[in-house]
Amino acid sequence: LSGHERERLSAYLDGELGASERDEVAQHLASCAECAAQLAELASVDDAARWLAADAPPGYFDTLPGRVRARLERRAPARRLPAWSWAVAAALLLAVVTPLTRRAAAPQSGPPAAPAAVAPQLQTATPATSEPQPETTRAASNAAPTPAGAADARKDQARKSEAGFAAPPAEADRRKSSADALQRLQPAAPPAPAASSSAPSASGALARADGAPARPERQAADEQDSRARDNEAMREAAAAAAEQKAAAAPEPQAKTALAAPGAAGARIEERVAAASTPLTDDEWRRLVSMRAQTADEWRRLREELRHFAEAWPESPHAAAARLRAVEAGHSAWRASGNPADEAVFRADAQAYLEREDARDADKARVRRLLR
Amino acid sequence: MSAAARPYHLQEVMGPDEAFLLARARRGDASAFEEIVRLYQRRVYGVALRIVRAHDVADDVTQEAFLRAWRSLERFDLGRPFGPWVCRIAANLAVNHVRSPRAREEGLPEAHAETRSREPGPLGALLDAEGARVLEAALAELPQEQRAVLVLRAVEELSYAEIAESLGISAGTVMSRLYRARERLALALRPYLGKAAERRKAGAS
Repeated sequence: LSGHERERLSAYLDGELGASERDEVAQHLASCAECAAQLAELASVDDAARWLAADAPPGYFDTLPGRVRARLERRAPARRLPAWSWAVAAALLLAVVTPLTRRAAAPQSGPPAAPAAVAPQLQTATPATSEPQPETTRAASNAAPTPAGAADARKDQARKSEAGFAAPPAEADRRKSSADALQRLQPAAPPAPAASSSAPSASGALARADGAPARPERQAADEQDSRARDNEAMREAAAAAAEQKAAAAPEPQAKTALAAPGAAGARIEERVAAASTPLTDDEWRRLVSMRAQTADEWRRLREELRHFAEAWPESPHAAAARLRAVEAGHSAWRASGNPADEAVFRADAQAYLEREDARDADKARVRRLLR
Repeated sequence: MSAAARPYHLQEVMGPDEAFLLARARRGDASAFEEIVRLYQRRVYGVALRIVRAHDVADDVTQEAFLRAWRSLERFDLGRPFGPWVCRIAANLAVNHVRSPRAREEGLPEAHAETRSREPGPLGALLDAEGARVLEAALAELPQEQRAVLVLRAVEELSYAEIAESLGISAGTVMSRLYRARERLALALRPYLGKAAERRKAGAS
């Protein structure tokens, strides 16, 4: 055998010959025992190379991730001016201007109750439309020349995540989650009565507060407990609203949400009853295929995950949802730099660490986030 | 003989957990990247050690590969598999590390005394202690460029185009280096590989 022929055999072994050359070699191999033996020998060499496992000294892999991370933080990418600086400016402006206008319109003795925080709730409660991100669609076309099995599997995954994006939650679902989020964010203290005259966008929230429908006991109790966190959430909502100020006004959707909050509460109970069903699996698949980049997207993901874990505590995915909710909260904070996001994240992380049913490895992950 | 299905550790479909971690890491979340390192460290270190053959150097290369990946995450397409990408970075660093003037001055470092996991694979069952030593020596004697190509093909199962890209050489060069590496190893191992080859032949026909 010439060197050239042996080189061809080597490439044939790797499936790297053109179609005609490949057929030629295959035909030849069928009738030439010597070449077949050569090919087997080359394949054995690869086996040998694979077989020589590369092991590190004991304990090496326990410390490597931490050492890499320590070096990362030294050269962390420069942080841009946080987006929430605009939100703070807007909130401050409102906080100063609103009491003034209010005093001018109707002087009153009581302190104004954070008027800036009322309107943005509506925006937070309105889920952003889940838009397909270019990344996922690229995934399919990215299938490199790899074995057919891997490529197929990848395409399959791409298809799945595309489906996750292409099919936004059904209208009913969307309304439900809007309403749920609204209930979650309902302020513990009722807004000041004068707010309606000074802040037109707050009228929706006021209408809801006035004719607040009866909510399920469980949820009402939760809100009592997490009053402090709701306040955090409201501050966060103020920031979110300011970030979104260029986005389309969510007024109509917010109204729809207001129309059926009681029904949404009832639906939560149904969902709790129906833990671990194909429905929860579908919902879980949708959640894990969601990709987030901006602080808003991370916040939304955090809320959806938290909601999932609360609505389906018996689901096999509930534990993962709780962990991911904490992680998404961390990312929201990282993305916004907003202290309100930090507070939510820290509260969630703390609550997570106190859970007895959480796995130690997962708790370690959360602790690393807190570092 | 087409390429067989990839072994589990090489499967390129990213789990949802990894995609999630990568998305967070891309936002600058170091703790998410730490988890990524945890997931891929063995594979990356494996590529590095097989090429440079000394733990200290492999450690350097592994850390540097992850740091570069971190810095390039902005440009990384989340739809692509992360493993092959970071392994290619590591292979490139490993080859250039060995080539660097300092490394040449000091000569090739002593082979690291690894504790091998000797789970008998199809070949492991056939190679005795003597054969393993011969294999080790033959691998160590290969020029590092040939070894890098062999590792990326045999262990990481990258295509010629992917190997060419990561090492900055042409696909033709990949083909010839790979062939020469296999030839040299085959020559050294022939006495030990006879049985394996016979078994393969019997299985193939």
